Amino acid sequence: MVRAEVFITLKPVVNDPAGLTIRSGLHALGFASVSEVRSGKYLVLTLDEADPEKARREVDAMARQLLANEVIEDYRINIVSLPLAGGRDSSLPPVGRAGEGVMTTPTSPSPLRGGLGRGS
Amino acid sequence: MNTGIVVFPGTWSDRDCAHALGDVLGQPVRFVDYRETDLDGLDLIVLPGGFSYGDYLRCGAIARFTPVMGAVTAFAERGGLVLGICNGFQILQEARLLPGALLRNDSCEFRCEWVHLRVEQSHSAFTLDCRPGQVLKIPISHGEGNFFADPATLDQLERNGRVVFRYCEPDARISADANPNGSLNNIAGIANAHGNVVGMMPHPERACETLLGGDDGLAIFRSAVHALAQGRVAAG
Repeated sequence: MVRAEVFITLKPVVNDPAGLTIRSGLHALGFASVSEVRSGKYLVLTLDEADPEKARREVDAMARQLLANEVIEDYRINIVSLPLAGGRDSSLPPVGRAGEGVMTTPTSPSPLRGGLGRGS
Repeated sequence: MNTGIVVFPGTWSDRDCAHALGDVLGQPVRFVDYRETDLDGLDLIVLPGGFSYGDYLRCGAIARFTPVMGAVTAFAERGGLVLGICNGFQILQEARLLPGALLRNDSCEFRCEWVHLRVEQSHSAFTLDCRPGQVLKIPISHGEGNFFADPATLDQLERNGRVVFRYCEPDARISADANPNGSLNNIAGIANAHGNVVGMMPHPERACETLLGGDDGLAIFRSAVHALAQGRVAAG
């Protein structure tokens, strides 16, 4: 099993009114240091595939065909191998629990650390 | 003019289009289910407005892969008339039948209001009855109508006369104030190279009776009837 995280962001040349609105909200709350906010989408795919490289190629094809629109968006794929286990493995990163670093696990260096990228 | 109006899950303007073309213009109309692939006998395909597949992922991204869209693509390539309105325009771009993309409105608001459109060219199948510079009053109703294309594509659209409609003031002036969504160059509608496929964000089907505020939208549907009658386009 492989988990694929797909990060979809607007290309740098594309205006992001949602990001601008979020930025002005942060400024209104006093977070004056925020100079830019870019919004995007985060998709988590679980694949019945043992080979991470094969999974990456497959998810890349999915991203090109459907998940991202190359006219306006870039995407980046992060592949996380999941241990074979019956039932839910406690080592899996929690998904979507508020207040936790969802994407920081020993097997998965934070994909956000490098900023919002420009494709894989 | 035999018109097929495509209905996707989440389409909402199909009946308005049928009313405008069928009841007001007296043309034969039938609804085309998104699972259909046989468009024989149809002259015009309308992709109406709405929220196909809930606008999930991106507007039009899922609808683009439905069975009917394969048939619509072949129909368009044969020269059949295709009009994409609002969500239909977004689907045509996702299907690469028209270039560019429609981003979220720069205001981040859903805009539902009457706008003025300047007709930029009268050689597309949907503007034959118009004259360049003519102003049409037609409503918009969208949250993602902010036209975007990369500079090379935009330049090509402009130089080849493929910009069909621009948001304008009532006196035809192009201004930032008249732009309801941040569209590049105030673009509200474009055509493909042959002029048989047009996508537009405003809703001409909602402007076909004076009782409803205006009938400027009729010019767009009548143009299609005349384009067919003149044999300017191949029938499907």
